[in-house]
Amino acid sequence: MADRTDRGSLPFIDLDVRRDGEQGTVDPVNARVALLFQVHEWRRLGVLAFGWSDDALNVATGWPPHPDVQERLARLNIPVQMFVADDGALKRAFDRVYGPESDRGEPRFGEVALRLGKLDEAALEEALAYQRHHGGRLGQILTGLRHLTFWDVAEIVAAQRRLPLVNLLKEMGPIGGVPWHLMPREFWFRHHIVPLEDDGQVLRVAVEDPDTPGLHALTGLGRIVMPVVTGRRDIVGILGARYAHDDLAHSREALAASTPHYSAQRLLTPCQTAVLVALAAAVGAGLWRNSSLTLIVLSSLLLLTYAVMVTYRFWFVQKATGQAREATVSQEELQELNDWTLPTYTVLIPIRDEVAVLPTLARAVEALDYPKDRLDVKLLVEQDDYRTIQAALRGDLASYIEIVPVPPDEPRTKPKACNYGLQRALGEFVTIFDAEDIPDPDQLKKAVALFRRADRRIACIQAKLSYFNRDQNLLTRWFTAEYAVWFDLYLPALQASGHPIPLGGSSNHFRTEVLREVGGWDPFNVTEDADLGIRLHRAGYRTEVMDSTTYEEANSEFVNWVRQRSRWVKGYLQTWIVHMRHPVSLYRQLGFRGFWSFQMSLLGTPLMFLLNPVYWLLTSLWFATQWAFIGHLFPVGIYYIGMLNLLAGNFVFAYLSAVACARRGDWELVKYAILSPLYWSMMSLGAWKAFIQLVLRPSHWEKTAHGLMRGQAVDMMGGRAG
Amino acid sequence: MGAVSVPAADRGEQAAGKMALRTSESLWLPGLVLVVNLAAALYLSYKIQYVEADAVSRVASAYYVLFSGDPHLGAIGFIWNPLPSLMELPLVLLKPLFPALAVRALAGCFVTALFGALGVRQLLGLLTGFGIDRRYRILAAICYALNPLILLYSSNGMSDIILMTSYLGAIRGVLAYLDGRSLRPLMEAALWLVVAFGARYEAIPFTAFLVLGLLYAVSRTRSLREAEGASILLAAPVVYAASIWMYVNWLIMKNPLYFLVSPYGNIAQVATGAYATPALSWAYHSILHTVLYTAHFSLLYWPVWVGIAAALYWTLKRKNGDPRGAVLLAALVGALSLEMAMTYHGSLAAWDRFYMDYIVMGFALVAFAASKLLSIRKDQRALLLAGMVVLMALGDVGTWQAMQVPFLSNPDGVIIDRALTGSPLPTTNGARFQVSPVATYLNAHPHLVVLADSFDSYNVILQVRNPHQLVITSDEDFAGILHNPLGRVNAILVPRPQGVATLNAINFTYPRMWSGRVRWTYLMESFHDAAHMRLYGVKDTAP
Repeated sequence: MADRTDRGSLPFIDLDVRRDGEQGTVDPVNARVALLFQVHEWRRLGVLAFGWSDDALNVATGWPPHPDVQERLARLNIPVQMFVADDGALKRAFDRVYGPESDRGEPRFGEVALRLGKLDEAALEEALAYQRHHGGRLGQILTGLRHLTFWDVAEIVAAQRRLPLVNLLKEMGPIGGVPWHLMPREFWFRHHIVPLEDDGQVLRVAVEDPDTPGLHALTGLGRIVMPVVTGRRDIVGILGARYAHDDLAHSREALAASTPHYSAQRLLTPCQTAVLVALAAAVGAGLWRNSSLTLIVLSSLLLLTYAVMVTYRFWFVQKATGQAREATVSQEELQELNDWTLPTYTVLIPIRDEVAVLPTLARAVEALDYPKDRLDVKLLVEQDDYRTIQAALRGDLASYIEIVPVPPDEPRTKPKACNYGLQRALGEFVTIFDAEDIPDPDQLKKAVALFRRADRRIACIQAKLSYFNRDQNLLTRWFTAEYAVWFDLYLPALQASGHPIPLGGSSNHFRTEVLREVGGWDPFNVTEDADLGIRLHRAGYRTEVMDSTTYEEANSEFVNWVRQRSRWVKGYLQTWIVHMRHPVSLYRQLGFRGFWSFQMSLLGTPLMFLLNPVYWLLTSLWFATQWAFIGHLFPVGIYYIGMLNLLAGNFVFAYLSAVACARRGDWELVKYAILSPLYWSMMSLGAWKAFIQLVLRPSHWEKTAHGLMRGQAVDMMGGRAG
Repeated sequence: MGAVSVPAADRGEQAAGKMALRTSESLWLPGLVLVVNLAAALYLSYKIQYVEADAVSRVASAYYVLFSGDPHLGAIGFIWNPLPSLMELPLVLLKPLFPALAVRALAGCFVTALFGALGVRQLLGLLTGFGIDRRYRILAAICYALNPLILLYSSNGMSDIILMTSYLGAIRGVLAYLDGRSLRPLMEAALWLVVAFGARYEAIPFTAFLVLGLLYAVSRTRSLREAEGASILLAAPVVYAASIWMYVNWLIMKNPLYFLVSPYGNIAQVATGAYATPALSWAYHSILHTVLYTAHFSLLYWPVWVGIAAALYWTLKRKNGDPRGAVLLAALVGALSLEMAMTYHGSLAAWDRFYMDYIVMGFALVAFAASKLLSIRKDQRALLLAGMVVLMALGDVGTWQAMQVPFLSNPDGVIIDRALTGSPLPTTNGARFQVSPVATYLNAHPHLVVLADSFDSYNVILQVRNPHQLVITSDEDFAGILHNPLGRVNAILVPRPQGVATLNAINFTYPRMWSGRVRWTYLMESFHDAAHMRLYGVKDTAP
């Protein structure tokens, strides 16, 4: 092309419209060709594509051509015939094709929206004020503020850019014939582009945003990329339909395929089964040969183990009663956070049969203090949960809440749904909220501030959990006290010691890329959160607990509560079994302290609840019957340890529960927390249910009903708003 | 905002109370005091031959757990609060190597020396919380450590100093919580109350009044919700400990209130009339006289009245009042209330140590008064602080002078007097260390197996080399052998049935044994010790 850039060798083209006898006028510029290219860039370069001849693209430029013209045309990878045009004629041609250029360039989005009657001045002013403060794109802001729909935005963009507008959901044919193969799945999702047609020379794509860098990348395919505008829901709908099957398979099988030793799909490995059988055989043989001694050894071992667990838990919990050990973000730090720099944040909300919580959910998400144009909220609904989907569609949810139907397939678990959502996550960070959650409004900003402050090893930030319906009944009060110990004392103490943290089921914030790197959640683990926390630690990443709270709905019904508890306990046992498949490698990855901390948290927690009723029963039996056999089970030293566990241990933990409530400022719960040993008996019930279920139905997900306290949640949101 | 995010209460880590125990002098000064207390303990034991009977008895309780014929934790006894003996257990373990640890109750002396030092540490914390400058708080703490009664009880193995230190710890914790909202000092205060209960029953009314003070202070400055919650956090551990103590009493002694109604308990002992004085009789069943009687002992530390006046003033002051004054006053009343109740009830002995509360609370109240004056007269800081130290020192002088008054100094006046002159106690003094002639006899007759009630034979038990020669009260078969001794013991040891010795189980069962009128026994030996012990052999005709 070098010789052609010499003016002497370039033909001249008159781009002005000329009269042509009876036919009226002839425009030498083919607008359809011109519109294949991006107006901003081409107008800046002073180049206009005006037609085709001899399989070459005809372009006109002023003289001298812009220095970048050669490089830009070379990137088209197609033959180009270059012409020189008069500067005035070139400008007039641009105006004819793209519309007259104002002093500020092309007409602004807001102006077009006003012109089309999509907006009134007040709404525009509101959006512009928001934009000045938070940054972001006006279209997304306006949808976030509910002044426009996504389709409105598409219409405005199409008019602004003079691009064709396509309603994909109505007009697009079968998606099978579409050139999806040109780019990987991630590309289409990341840039929100749907390929429509490809004839080898021209690639027609539907975009939500014609400025997406994805279009630029597509030009590298050696085709002329011809964008059309469509709405966000169209893009998301088509992409979702296209990749639903692949994503579902990935959600289900990715972890098991990449790191099968981390998957709970099959619980016991042959080696573990052998160890279990050997242990059972040893105990059986012991009982057969010398049942008395065997029982004494067993009871002593269990009691000593119990004592170690109690001491360990007490030590950690009391450490956190003094100074705050969680990561904190001050109000000053939050204020210094420039909204313009905030990244897109994905919020995954798995929901199933929970129509009742939708209004709460909508308000809670809306209350988040985060630029709405950068919120990527995905409501993960089982595709056959028609009631919830219908309610969500009718529910006037904010535009940034995307309803993602998860195809029905086993296992029907929350982690599988989350994995499904994770694959579509657009955010740099991703978090997960339960449907009934009410997070502190500044939680996302706090997480961003902490991620920015921390090194790359901090892959997860866990917010604290508490309950908005704590005063509903005795059960919810105890439950709140338990969470206060766990999230306000125990987890922060683990964090401060650098030990692995079993994550809570909600409000854990991740770096998206790291979460994808470690394989997301295990869909077969019923406490996928705890498992993920351990996997992150094993992979060298760390978790911090932050001083921000998400309020959930505490289970207020006994049966429902036992179901939930049994799932948690089962999950902890499941996670322990999974990670103990290779204890040596676990030890190497976690280190001495981390390894034992893992044992105490993941095995110790369920074991304590499993053992409690056994010892309570033995103690009661002994007092009632003075049965010598029971006394025989506990030699003198062991007996004193047991008594210390029973008398001191129980009280100390009840007391620490009360302290934890006070530390949160929940002073009215202190008196109930002191009575929490009664609550532990219920926990033991759940633990035994879990233990039995672990054997019979290891991956069964005990669904917990939410929305029983809708009124209180709404009250709380009202209070917050006030 | 209602139920939304309530700011966490525990952000006040800068609280004065939290910092209070982290000063350098809070390490070296208690260390120094510990050394002084230990030196005093050795001096009193070997130079003055002073060994408190109750201290020996507590060490003996630990000894029974480890070395009796039937070693078990329950042998620690269910009358006295068990903590001192529990803490003495590791030291008593060394008895075979260092018999004086038990025989002279040095194990108990080590424990009290430690608690005396811890008391200084708590006082330093309290003074730091009050904003007293370093040099003055050091001087004040020295005044405290050298107070004659504090020093004596920091070195004699009795439980009183444990109680006093616990009072200081509890008060420091509560005031630090009020200052800074950190929960840790409140938890520490609760723990100190448990320690107090582990040592003495006075902890119960003290806790009750301290909780009232806290309720008042928190509800006045914060909220009723917090007042209720904080009070529960403060009181729950001691309530639980008391419940467990009653439970254990029920479990082992079959009566949850055994510690109150035991035939060996203080109430039963006082009922024998052994400790009656005219002054106590004067106060018996008269509220006014009881109050006056109790108030009289404030002469043990007269500056307490200065502090009381200041605390009252700042409690009642409407504008810029300080509810911490109410907490201190409540603590003082709580500390004295069991003594007052027992005085009224006629169940108290006339011992000065029951009123050491005035000394401890005096230091706290005077420091409070100084801190309040400092906030008013900032220009007179040095003068005020010096005045505070002088007042505290004059209080020590007052204690010394009170020790010269028999009514106020029973039974410690003579001990302090002898300690200063360096002369041993007379052999007639009950606190004089004596080699037990009974133990000497039994050591010389190792074939004998003797039934003895540890209630008043603990000295014998500790000095007998072979513990298997004795069957004592905590042994499981004691009651059986008491009624059917034949073939199970060779002899029975019985004190002269007078005063509290009438409570001895053997005297109780066989009131005429000591006088030789139980036919199936014969007198083997009569001893010339304070209890006039006699050893009776068991005849073949015995049951």
